[in-house]
Amino acid sequence: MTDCKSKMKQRERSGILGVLALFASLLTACNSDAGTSTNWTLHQATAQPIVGTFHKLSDKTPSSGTTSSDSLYPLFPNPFSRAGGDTSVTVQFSLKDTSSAIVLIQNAIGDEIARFRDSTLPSGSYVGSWLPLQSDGSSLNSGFYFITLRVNDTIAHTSYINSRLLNILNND
Amino acid sequence: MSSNLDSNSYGAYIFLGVDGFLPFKESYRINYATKTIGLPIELYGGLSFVINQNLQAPLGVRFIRRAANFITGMDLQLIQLEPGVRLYIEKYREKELRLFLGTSLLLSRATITGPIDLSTSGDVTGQQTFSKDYYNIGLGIDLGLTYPLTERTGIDAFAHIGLPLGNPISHGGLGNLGGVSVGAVYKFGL
Repeated sequence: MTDCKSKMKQRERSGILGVLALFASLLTACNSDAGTSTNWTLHQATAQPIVGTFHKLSDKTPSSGTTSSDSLYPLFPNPFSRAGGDTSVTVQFSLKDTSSAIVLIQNAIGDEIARFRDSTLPSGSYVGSWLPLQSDGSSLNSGFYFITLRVNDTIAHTSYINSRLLNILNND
Repeated sequence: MSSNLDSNSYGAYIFLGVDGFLPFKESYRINYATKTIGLPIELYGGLSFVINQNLQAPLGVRFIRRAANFITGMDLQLIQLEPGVRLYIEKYREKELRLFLGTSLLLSRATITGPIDLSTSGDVTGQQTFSKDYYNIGLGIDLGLTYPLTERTGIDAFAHIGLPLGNPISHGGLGNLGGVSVGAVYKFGL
């Protein structure tokens, strides 16, 4: 419980952005620590209406064994084809230690499309779904997109960074 | 007054040089690095027609290759045709630096290529390289200095900014977006 309180204080310092989402994630986190839930939700930092959510899967990596390193796993479906019936992209990652994490989605020239972040995530593996749409709800242009996981990202140091390439095929 | 490249003694000259790209956007800088034949350079060459001592009409070709920093095997290549005009701001004087301004139309084709881990359910079933071409037009702005080396040769140092007119994501212009190229060319009178 003391741990939960300290987490709450830490979250308050990050500002009022996404207060409701933070409250929900904190509640989930505290419950998770108590062993009653395994969900944790990363909230999206941008104001775009189309978001995705991330949930903690387990304390283990998707393959097997304990979480021994920070990892970003293959995206799927890839290529993503809306004409083929695809609706969302699944992103999986794991953290070896309790860390801050950012899942950053950028187009081919590095413009930010979406960002999911959380200041404190327990070790374990996470899965999220992202709806690849523009801020007005229309489809993203066909092409390449970077999906990047950044762990403990600060101005001076980032402990882990890895990108995977997503190819979106639309009829544009 | 002896003749040289800028004294209107030659009808045209060819030029060839290199430049480096200084991106202003941090996200671009993080994701890409300029790499042409293993070096952080862009290639620029062409032919320039001398109209008079103060005006020229260059037809340049620029080649740019950027490699993705975090995705092995991913790159974007841009080839750009640049017809334009160059105006020398100062009058011609023998063996002296001259300042010039230039503008050009940019006709570009950018090709982006990258390997994709094929997956429908999280398990990678293979890897396939995808490629997509983008076409764009834009406006180029140049500012530089020229200096005659010999009667027939000279050197230009310049800064070049490319402004794609079409949306860079839907129409390309991926090469020199949000930055400035700084370089030099060697020129030879014909």
